[in-house]
Amino acid sequence: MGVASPGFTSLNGWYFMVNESVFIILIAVGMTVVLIVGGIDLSVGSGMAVAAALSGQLLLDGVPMALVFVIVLLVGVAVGLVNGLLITYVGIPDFIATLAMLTALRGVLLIWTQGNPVLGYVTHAYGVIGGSTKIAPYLTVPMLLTLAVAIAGSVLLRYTVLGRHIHAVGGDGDAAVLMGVRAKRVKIACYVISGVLAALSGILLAGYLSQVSPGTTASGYELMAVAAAVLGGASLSGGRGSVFGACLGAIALTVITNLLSWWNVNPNWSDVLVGVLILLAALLQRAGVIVATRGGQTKRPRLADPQPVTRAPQSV
Amino acid sequence: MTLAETHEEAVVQVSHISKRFPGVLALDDVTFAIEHGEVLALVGENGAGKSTLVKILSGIYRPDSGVVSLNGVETHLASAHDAQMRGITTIFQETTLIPDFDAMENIFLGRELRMKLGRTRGPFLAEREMRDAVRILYRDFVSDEADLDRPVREIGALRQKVVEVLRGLAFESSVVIMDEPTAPLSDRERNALFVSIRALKARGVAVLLVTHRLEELLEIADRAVVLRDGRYIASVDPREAGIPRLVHLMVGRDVDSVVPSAAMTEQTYPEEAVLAVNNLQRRGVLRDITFNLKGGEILGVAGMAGSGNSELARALVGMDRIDSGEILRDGRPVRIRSPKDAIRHGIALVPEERKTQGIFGGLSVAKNISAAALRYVTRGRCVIDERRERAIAEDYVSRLHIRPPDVTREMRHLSGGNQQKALIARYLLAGSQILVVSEPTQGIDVGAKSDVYGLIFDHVNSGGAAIVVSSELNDLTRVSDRILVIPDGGVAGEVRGGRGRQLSHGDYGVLEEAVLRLAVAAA
Repeated sequence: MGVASPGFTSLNGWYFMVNESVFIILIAVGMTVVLIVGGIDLSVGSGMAVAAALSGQLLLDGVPMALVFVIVLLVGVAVGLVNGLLITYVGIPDFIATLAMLTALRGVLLIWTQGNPVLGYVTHAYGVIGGSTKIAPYLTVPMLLTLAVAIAGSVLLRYTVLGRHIHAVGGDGDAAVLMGVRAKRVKIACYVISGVLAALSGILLAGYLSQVSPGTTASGYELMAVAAAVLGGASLSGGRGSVFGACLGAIALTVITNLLSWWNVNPNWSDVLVGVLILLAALLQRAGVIVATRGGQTKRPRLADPQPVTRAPQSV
Repeated sequence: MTLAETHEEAVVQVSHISKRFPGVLALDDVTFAIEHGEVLALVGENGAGKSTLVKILSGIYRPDSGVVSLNGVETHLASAHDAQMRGITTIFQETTLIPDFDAMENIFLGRELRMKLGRTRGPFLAEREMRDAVRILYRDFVSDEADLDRPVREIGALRQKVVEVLRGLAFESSVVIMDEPTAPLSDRERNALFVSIRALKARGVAVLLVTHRLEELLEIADRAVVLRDGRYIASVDPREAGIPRLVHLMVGRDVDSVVPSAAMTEQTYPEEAVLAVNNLQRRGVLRDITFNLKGGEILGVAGMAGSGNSELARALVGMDRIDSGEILRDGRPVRIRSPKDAIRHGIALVPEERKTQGIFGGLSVAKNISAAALRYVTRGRCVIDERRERAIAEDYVSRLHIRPPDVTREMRHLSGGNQQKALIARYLLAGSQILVVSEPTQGIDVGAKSDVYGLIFDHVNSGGAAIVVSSELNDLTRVSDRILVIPDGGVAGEVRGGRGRQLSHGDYGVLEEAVLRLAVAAA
């Protein structure tokens, strides 16, 4: 563009942007899994905030750090489990169930903290874990963890039985059930994965920020995660998505936001740009230009004339 | 049932199975067995209970009473997963595959091979093992490996069926159930499928084949079990019995007529057709359909499920696009590209899927009735006058005997028959001269059935016309003036119906047989 931007000319700028992205990447990986199974998890933003505040508070209360992390991750499992059970066994639509969870968790957090920020819990060790302190030049613990999660997520989706079943349920849930896939369990597993990753992201975020504001921390992150996953090729109608793509999507969102602010563009315009990008990604997907396949790569669909697999609704 | 059929070596023994759905006894004390390595055909008219039985054996429905035994052991099939794990593989009537998955992924779905992890098998897919297994299956049964790695959405109906059959071959299945597997296939493709069925048989796998194409049985089945009205009727050797006897077993019954006596008055028709359809085509679904419909006439359309008859109804009212052909309304060509166009031209569809395509379950009966003709209940074309809406609805409710007679009641609380009547009221109010009624009596009880036909008769007697699309031949022969037989997307012939003629039960049997023969011959 002809404008020198520090973010792109210095390794430091890239380091900063990647380190900012990791929190979104973590929940975007979970979101991708949930989108592939045909759901959506709007509760992750609040889940992160609760995990962050809970981590800080438990540390203040003198609970050993390892135990704190275990407890918080278990809370993440519980949130995912409740989401999954509400959706599969109670039959509440994914969007509504997780929207309710989003609101309720934030409310619980505000009541519990009485709106006061949680602060003063950060130790040197927690700073290292949260990534505010580097462990090597341009390298932080959250970066390594995120890399590990992204690889694990890709492997799960590509090489495991569960991964195959996730794609099957998202591709055609009724057919999958008829073919012997236990679709409810598969779906619950996806929400648990998403819940745990939100908790993990929250733990790291608390260490990074050194203070948690119950009203605003991680607010709106769920939509960033959806945006990242969609930019990365995930389809909201299920069956398709890529962890690798979602990571790139999350980094792209952070880069765009930072780039515009370096250029002194009114930050509200960056929101507009992000919105336009999401629409563009969705349109390209619909036109079949970007199709995330189960390999994790994107490809052009073959030019064979497609034979639709049709199935009438099951009548009783 | 004979003693021979209940000996304990049968791979599947069905004993005294009954299954009731609201308003209908789908299976009534059915007992029969499937022996090792036999190809057993299950035949019967639509509604005879074949699909229900298939679903019970596949673990999707649970029987109300009776038991299923596998290899002599009484077994409770808890889910589709459970049935599969016990060696029952089902190929459902509708293609049941994941469109984005390739052949291997579909074949092993739900029963994936896992990589060894120490002494047990872990969570990882044994991709290569599965690919090799599928490659061998393909080599043995398909003789080429062309489409192995393509998503099944791209490979065509036959190859999709083949993939489903291979699901049965890839495992130690003891029974493979096939529900109308040949419906989407051409003759050549059907023969290829039969080769696979013989391969299954050669391996000692039993095959339960559900089909309405009787000539297929002569070719492939060792034995045929006939169901009628949910009851076991007979087990015969199809080659010995022959098609006429099979048809007789399927149809031959004495049933009370559900057709009101109004049907029995002689009709005279005007010369001019109110609706004429010329060479209607919809690629892959309907071909070259030509017929006309006169005022005061009821035209029946017969065909088996999935044969294109409900698609014809959809195409007539613009829900599905037509590729070519002409529709004339009162002699003038009309273009119908949406249901709105159809309603404007006085043609309305009372749809088959009442719950999803017909009613607004959460709205009142009055709002349901006025839905297609809001212009009659609005003031200044935009504000709805609820009082007028209710008054009009009350008029219809009392004339059509809709129960309970409360127009403010939410539609979903009404019985199926009353919902059906309210839907007909909707299109009568909209001024539809031609009612296209698709499967009008599906899921409604006998009393309501008679009422619904009564409404249709009133409509045609007062100058309207109706097309009744139904797979219930028994009713269709009685209510129709003429019956168009559409077995596979094209018109196979026309049979004069029983409406307005004094016919005996035996005569109706003859009519039904004539319709069935036309359907079978063309398929």
